[in-house]
Amino acid sequence: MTADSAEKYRDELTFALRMREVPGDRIGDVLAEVDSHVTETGQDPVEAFGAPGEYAARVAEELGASVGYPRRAVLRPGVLPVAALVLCGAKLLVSAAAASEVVLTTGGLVGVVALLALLAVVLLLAMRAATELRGTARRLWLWLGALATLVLAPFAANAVERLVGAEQVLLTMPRWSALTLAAVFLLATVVLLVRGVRGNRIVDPGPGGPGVP
Amino acid sequence: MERQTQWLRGVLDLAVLALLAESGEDYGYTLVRRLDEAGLAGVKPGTLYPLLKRLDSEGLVRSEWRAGAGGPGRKFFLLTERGRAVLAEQGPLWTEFAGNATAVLERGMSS
Repeated sequence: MTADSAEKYRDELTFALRMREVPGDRIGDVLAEVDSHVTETGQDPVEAFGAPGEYAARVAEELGASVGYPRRAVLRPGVLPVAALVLCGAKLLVSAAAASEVVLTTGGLVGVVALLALLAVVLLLAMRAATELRGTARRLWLWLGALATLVLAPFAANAVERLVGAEQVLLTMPRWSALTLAAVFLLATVVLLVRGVRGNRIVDPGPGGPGVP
Repeated sequence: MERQTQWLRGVLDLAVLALLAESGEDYGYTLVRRLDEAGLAGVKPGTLYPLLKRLDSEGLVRSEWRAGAGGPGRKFFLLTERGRAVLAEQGPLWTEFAGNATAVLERGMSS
């Protein structure tokens, strides 16, 4: 075993555990166990623990049914609200900058929902690609699919928006209230992201670390 | 080997509790080695560590990280009172089961 292969294993295992939504403190614990074992025995990590994806699946399985399905992670609360807040915040900001009042039409609303749905598809494909164990070709196709959807999503959402039409006005708001709302949306995004990152930091439980009483 | 892995699946948790009852405490690597020496070879660390985690969350063992002598830190596992009780309750059931299986096989082989 080389230091490089141990490092590579560590990175791939971290990624695979993250994809399965294993909590940060448990990831730190698992990584420390692997480190400790391979340093002591000189064994190859793949030989001792199995491929990173397989070992991550086993670790997730032991944590119960609440984690362990990488494809569903994207649909859990957290990912989509952040995407929705960013989209609405940015759209409001751009509209408020261009005109003195912002008009929300049925078409506009449907367009945003369509764009969100398409972005969820992009995320699902990307996650599937990142956790695909069988075959590089399959993985490549999934990445290409994700990329193509990402590129086409704005056009598709735009087309949907035009199809529904801009006649029906749902809401009109002056520039200042649109700007305030945009600021609230974007601030909420930052808060959600910071909370997500803080609550899920990888913690090394090693001696002297927080895991030692 | 494949068959032995299947046998082990049913008794590995009790075997680990029994080894810890014997030694008081152990860390992952020495447990793998002691299982090997006891003739229960073939337990991979990738199987043992998640099992130890499960025993830990069920309160049958407790774990603590300690500094290794010059090397990496080691995670020690200690048997809890609850673990000892489970071993005392389930151990005899397994030995009875294994004894029954052995008796059936022996009868079949000698007839």
